[in-house]
Amino acid sequence: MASGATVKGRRYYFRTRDLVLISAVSSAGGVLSTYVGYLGNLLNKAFGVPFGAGQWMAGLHVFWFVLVRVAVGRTGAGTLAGVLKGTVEMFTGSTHGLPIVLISTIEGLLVDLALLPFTRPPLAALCIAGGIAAASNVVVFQALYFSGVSWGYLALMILFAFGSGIVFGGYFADGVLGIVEGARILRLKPGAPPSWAAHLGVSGRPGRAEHTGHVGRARRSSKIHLAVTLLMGVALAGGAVYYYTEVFEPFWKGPTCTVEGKVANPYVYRPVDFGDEVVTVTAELKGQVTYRPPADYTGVPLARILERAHPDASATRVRVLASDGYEAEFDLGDIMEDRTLILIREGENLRLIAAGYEGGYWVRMVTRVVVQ
Amino acid sequence: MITCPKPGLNPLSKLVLLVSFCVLALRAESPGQAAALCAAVLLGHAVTGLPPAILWRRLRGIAVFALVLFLSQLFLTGVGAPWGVRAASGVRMATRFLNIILGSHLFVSTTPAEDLAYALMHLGLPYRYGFTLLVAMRFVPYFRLQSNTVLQAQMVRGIGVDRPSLKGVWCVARYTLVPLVVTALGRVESLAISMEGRCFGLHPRRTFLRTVPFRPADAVIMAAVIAVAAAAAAMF
Repeated sequence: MASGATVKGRRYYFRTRDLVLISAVSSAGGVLSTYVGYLGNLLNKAFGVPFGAGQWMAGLHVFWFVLVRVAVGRTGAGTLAGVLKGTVEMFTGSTHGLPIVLISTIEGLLVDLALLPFTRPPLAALCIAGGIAAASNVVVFQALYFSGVSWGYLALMILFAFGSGIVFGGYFADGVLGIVEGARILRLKPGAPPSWAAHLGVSGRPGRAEHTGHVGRARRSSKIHLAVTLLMGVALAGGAVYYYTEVFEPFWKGPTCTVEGKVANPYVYRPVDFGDEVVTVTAELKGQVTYRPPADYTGVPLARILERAHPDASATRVRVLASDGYEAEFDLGDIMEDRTLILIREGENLRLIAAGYEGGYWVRMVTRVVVQ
Repeated sequence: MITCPKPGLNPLSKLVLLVSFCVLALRAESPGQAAALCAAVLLGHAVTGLPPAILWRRLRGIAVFALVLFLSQLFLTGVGAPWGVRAASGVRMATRFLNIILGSHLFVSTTPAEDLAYALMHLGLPYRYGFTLLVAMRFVPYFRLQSNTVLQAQMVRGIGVDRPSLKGVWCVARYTLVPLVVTALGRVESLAISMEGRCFGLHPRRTFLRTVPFRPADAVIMAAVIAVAAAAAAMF
């Protein structure tokens, strides 16, 4: 670990140059974060999700902390950069307000912790630090806002952010450090790992092209590029498949009704979810006014619909309500034993077929099933 | 010595007020509590004299995003729960987000970053560290100009730095971050040498040309706000 600077016998942990470097890079990061956030929102729109896809940009936010930590070479630089970048973002109109300071600080702190054993960390350590720091923003946001999204979707966002952190916070930051070191803008500590500047399209240290190592390094970097691209492609494809099969709920056009009241699992009933439960019964409608001769009706037993909602032990009655206010009341025990009481789809509505009951118990346009 | 001429609270009092407000906003469960906080922060905006038209122009994007949050809670999460429960969850999420942003906006609108830095240094923060915030804020207009120049130059060259795709993300990183980092680092040496040439860091303490007074009223307000936030957070 490098020793601190000494001014007139006083020992400072960070030299003046270090502090200025941290300030300048944090300021640049804070300014560009607005644009990065804007691109993240565009990515969300492109993928058709309210949030989550923007996590591909998460690595661009932690890139600055990794850069500062390596450039300064002292633990604490990342945290200080986090505080400053977050504050700059807040004062320059971040769409996250005060929480961005907290998020940024935690990201910088995690970079410091992950790189604690190193003065000039190797590429693998940079990638891990970048990945962890980038993923932390998902956890902090969830802790703050409790958005209620499924754990699977959260895990997916963490995976996206981690991958982005590896690429932009680790791999890319290492390349940029190689560039600035090669251009003699920055002088890093000795023992630096191989630079990936060639991959980024800018040669590293002057004159390196003459050395035989340059071609080999370029080949190796292109292989790494291919591997990273494949990894991200697989993650994206897997993520998209998971989202659209497990998380995404298409807007249901057909009829629905809510199952609510004294139940452990209130839910919205949709016939399509009970495709395997369909039965056909023969019923005759005998009302005081209306009469329909025996006919076959196909639908889902009301007992099966209620079973999924797990009625409370204390529940005794079930009310079936229609959209026009009409309702019929049944005994819960009778319904659970009777598999001929079914909900059928009738055009864009649901209808209760109450075989064995008077016509007044046949309910059209059912919208609610309330357990009491 | 120049004393901050503006009347009003010390930036530290405002910061405590903001943090307490955010804690309350995060703890508020019912739409009524959230609406009360929203009304309070809007009243704060009105007291500062910020014209509603300007406020709306600054925050309409936030309002749209709050609406997106509400709709996402309504349609994408808690599927199976009654609509009323999902709507309440959406309102809670959207107002929580809106309150935090509005509170932060009020703080930023009424508090220059420089005043905050000076207030922190008066509180005991070593001036070498307090100065980092001042330097960072001073760099903002410069880097904003630089980043715009770089982005426009890359777009003119046909590089898709404004495209919502993974390639676009990579283009932003490769063609925007690198020039900006080089620009930032290029300024470091000259400024550091200039500061050290003026004996920055030579003495453990320093006097300030500008002071931000901390009045007794600030202490009273800070204590009251912390007490109210703690009590309300415990009750909610």
